[in-house]
Formats: sequence, C-alpha cells, structure tokens
Amino acid sequence: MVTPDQVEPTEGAPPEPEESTSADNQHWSPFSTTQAKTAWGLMAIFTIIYFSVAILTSAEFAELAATPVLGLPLGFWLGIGVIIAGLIITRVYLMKVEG
Amino acid sequence: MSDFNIVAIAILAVGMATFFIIGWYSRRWTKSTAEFYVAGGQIPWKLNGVAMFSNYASAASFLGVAGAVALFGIDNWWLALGFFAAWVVVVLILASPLRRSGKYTVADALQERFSGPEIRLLTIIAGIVIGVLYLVPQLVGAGHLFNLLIPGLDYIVWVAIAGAFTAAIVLLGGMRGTSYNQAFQGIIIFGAMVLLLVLAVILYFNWNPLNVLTEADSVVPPTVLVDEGLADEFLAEYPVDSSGEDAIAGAQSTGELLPDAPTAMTPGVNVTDILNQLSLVLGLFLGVVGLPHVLIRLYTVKDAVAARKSTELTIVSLAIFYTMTLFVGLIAMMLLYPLLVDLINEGEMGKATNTAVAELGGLLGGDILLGIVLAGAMAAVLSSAVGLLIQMTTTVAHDGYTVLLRPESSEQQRVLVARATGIVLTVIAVVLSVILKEENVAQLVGMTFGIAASTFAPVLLMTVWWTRFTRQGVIWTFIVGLVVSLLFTAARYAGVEEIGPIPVLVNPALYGVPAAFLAGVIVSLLTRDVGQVDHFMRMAHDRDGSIDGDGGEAAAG
Repeated sequence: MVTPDQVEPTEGAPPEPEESTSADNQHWSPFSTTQAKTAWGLMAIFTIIYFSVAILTSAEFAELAATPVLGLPLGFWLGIGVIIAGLIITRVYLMKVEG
Repeated sequence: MSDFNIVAIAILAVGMATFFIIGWYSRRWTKSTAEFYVAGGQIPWKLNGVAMFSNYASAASFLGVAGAVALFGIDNWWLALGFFAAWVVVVLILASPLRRSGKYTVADALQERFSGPEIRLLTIIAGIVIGVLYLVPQLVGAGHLFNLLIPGLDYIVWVAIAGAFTAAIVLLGGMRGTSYNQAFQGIIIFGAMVLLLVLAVILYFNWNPLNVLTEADSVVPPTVLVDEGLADEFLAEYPVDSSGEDAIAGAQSTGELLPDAPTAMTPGVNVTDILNQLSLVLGLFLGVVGLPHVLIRLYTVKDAVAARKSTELTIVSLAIFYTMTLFVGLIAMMLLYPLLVDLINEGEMGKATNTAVAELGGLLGGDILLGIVLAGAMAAVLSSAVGLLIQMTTTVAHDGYTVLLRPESSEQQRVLVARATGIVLTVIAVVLSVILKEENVAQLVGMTFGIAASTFAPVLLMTVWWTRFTRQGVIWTFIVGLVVSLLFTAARYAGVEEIGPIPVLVNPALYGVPAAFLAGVIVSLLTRDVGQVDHFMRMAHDRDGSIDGDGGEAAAG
C-alpha cells in the first residue's frame, strides 16, 4: 500500500492507457481520502456494535441477555440498539460525505 | 382458511393483474439493452429507494422472519437484524465506488480494473448460483401461499405458476417495468405489515404495542412445547381452531405448563453455540455486499449521490419494517398458538413458518385483510423474484453472450438471449423449490447470504479498496469462496454434522468468508498483476472530484 503523494495523477485527466499494472510500481491508495477514513471509521464502530450484540445474545451469554431491563430482556434492547446505531451511523456518514 | 376464498382471491388477483399491466406497459422501453438492463440509469432516487426496499424485503422478510419468530421466538429476529445491518455495510464501503466504476453489472465494475474473460466467467457462475438459490425461497413462499388460498391444487402447480408469472413480468418490462413494479410492491408490503400490526394491537393488546412484548415474555415458543412432548395435552385443552383471545390464553398457559422453559423473549435459545451464531451473523453482515441482484439497482440511478440517497431511504424503510416483523411474529405466535402447535406436531414446519403471517391476516381482518396480506406477500415474493431474474438474465446476456461469446450481436439478439435465459433459470428454480419445500424461507435466504458473503463480497471489497489485489487473487477468491461455501451448504442440507474435524454450521459464512479472503490475500502477494489499478481507483473513489461532485475532500487525498 502506498501513500497518495507517491503517485501524482493529473487532476480531471482521463485514465492513462499505458499506466502500470504491476505490483512492483507504487499506486495511489483509496484509504488516504477523507471520505474513506470516515467510511471505515464508522464501519469499525458499527462492526464492533453488531458483533458484540451478536455474541451477547448467543447461547453462551443467554443468562446475561435475559436480564430484565425496563421490564424486557436486555437482548431485546440490544437488538433495537443495532437498528438505532445503524440509522445514526448512516446519517452521520452521509452528512460527512455530502458536506 | 381451507375453504375456497373468493374475496381474498379477488384482491390477490387485482394485485397481480396490476403487476402484469405495469410490466406490459413498460415493454416499449425494453428494446435497447441499456433500458432492459438498468432502465437507462434514469430511475429517480426515491423510486429506486422504494424499489430497493421491495427488492430486498422478500418472502424471507415478509413471511420468513415473522414466521420464524412465531415458531421460535426472539432469537430468529437476528435474521432481520442481519438483513438490516448488511445495508449499513453497503452504504459505508461499497455503494459509491461500485456505482462509479460499473455500467450495467457487478462484472463491469470488476472489468474496469481486471479485464479478461476468466473473471467475467466466474462472476457469471457465482451470480447464477446465488441468484437461483435466492430465487428458490421466493417460489417456496409463493407455493405455500397459493396452496393456503386454494388448497385443491398441488404445491408444485402453484410454484410453477409463480415462476411463470415472475418470468413474464421481467421479460415484458425489463428493468424499468421491474422498478415500477417493485416500487408499487414495496408500498403494498410495507402497508400490509403496518395494517397487521396496528389491527392486532388495537384488537388484542389494548392499543399498546409494548403489551405484545410483555405478554410474549410469559409464552413458551410452540417449537419448545412440541419438543417437550406436550402438544397433545395442550391441544386437548385448546383445540386447533382456537384463536384470538382463546389462543392468547392458551399461549400464556404454557408458561405455567413449563415454568423452567425459555420464553418467546429469551435470547440465546435456538442458536446452539457461539460458532453457529457468529457464522449466521457474519453471513448476513456481508451478504448484501455480495448480492448482485441488489447491487445492480445502484446502476439504475444517474450517479453515486443518487445511489447513496436511495440506499439511505432503503435503510430507514428496512429499520421500521424489521422492527415491525418482530412484533408481528410474536403476535402471530400468540394469536395462532394452537394452529402452530398442531402444524409443528404434524411435521409441517414449512407450512407453519411460511404461512403464519397470512393466517394472522385472515384472523384479524377476515377475507379482505387476508387478501391484502396475500397481495403483500405475493408482492414481496415477486419483487425479489423479478429482481433476481433480471439480474441473472442481464448477467448471462450482457457478461456472457454479448461480451464473451458474440460481441458483434445485435441489440435484438441480446434482448432475446436475456429472455430465453429468464425462462431456463425459472425452470431450474421451480425444480429446486419442490425439493426444498419444507425449509423456512428466511433460513434459505440466510444460507444464500453466506454464499454471497464468501464470493462476491471479498472480491468486490478487495477490488475496490486494495491496490495490491491481483487478477489471480480475484480468481482464487472466487473459486475458494464458492467451493467452501457450497460444500458446507450441501453438507448441511444432506444432514452431515462434520466434514473431517470441522463442524457443519447453520450458515457457511464462518468458513467461506475467511477462506476466500485468505486465498485472495495469499495469491495476490505471490503474484504481480494488479490490473488498471490507478485508473480504477481514481474512478471508483472519485479522486478528482469530477464525477459526481461529491469528492471535493477526496481530492485532498
């Protein structure tokens, strides 16, 4: 993986037909953009939330997930939490990329 | 509900006639391939968002999730949570780059970076496998529904009718007709689910939806009751025709009958262990990233901004819809408890799980609501089925026939091949639907998600994000992911518990996804051909900010 300053594409120029297809050359990394950093940062947060809830509602943690919270099992609230987190993360991402 | 039901049939017939008319009316737009494949990229984003919701909220969502919750309790809501979460993944890391880099199909996007026939061929094979396996649960759902309404005819006849109807809509209307149909169907699906929830809460749960949850917390799922051997004892007190208040009383009595048993709101009961849970949720999480019939809808709007807006509308619709499926599933469990116990006890799991929502409609609103729910269910079935069929026909006709076999072919020939492909694939799906008749449609779709997550998902993610990914890496990612996921899928349906020392899980993703990524990484590091990587990355990530005007900050990169 290389940094963007190692390769300098011309602004707005059409693709160069003779550009290198070899891994031996250095290529621009999409991870260097603000948009990509935002996307993957939010993706990391959502992944952690999603898989944490999945583990907490599995058989191994059934007792914990069954703990009553506001009259209902914690597992239910965790599931609702995944949906709410997904909605918030989507909105935050779109606000960021659309300026 | 086993009598000939003229009102419900009439409502369903009106709905289906409307779908057909939309397809017929749209046929004038299907003369060019661009129109047939992606509606010329001119579908408005709002309409596309509703169509994407409808395309996705298939029989699995409308019938399968609520039906699975009705039989097993809250554990099976994970299907819905996973179906939802997958869209967040799509919007964050795939929707924009894929929209910018493709033209008609996912294969087009890959070809922007890696030209050559072998990769296009692999995308066709994987696309067809996933498409057919995803089409099967739609037809299974349709067969059970029709059979419920007019039980005189065999299930296989209804499956064949549903398949033929799906093919007719696609072949007539192409992507534009399919889009209008899906948008219309989306409104019916959403409206039917709202109607079921609101009516049930008003009539049986004292106007308070939270009462559904608190009452379900004292009900033992019908599958547990049957497993405990108490079905006959229960049915002696609450006969199979008990429903409504009687059924709720019966359902709540199960908490006293089995005081130590889990209730419908107890998490972690139906998932046997953490490996099975992780495999399922991983397959669902990455599944949509690998579903070409969903991703193709990103090409029906004019640019990446419209694609993102469509996707957000879909996500919001799905969030509301999947929350409702939990409530409706629990309501169906309580209001239909004796019927469900009877069906499970008789070994008719497929019918019990796939028709619970329709039975609930008949109970709550008589023939009229039954008709509306059936129209909604049929809309769910058809919207996904037509989406799948148009993706597969486009893949074969465009990627296979036009690009690989006959580049000099005329527009007319290409559209003809697309239509012939639609017919052949429909026949294959009908045959498989008969074999898999007793499976829950949501579980079948979940399985397909696992295969998609093991093939297209790693290939697309590495193509779009990893500059070091090579042509050989793409090929081996596809092959390893497809072989491993199909092997474990087949093993599961064959009843095999272990392959060597490896246990067979509910979903193939836990093995298929890491195996595919690993194959892609290792082979890429051993080879050198990274394709037109700079050109592709500039296009996919809009580095110049010149493609759809949203990449201003990208230029800073």
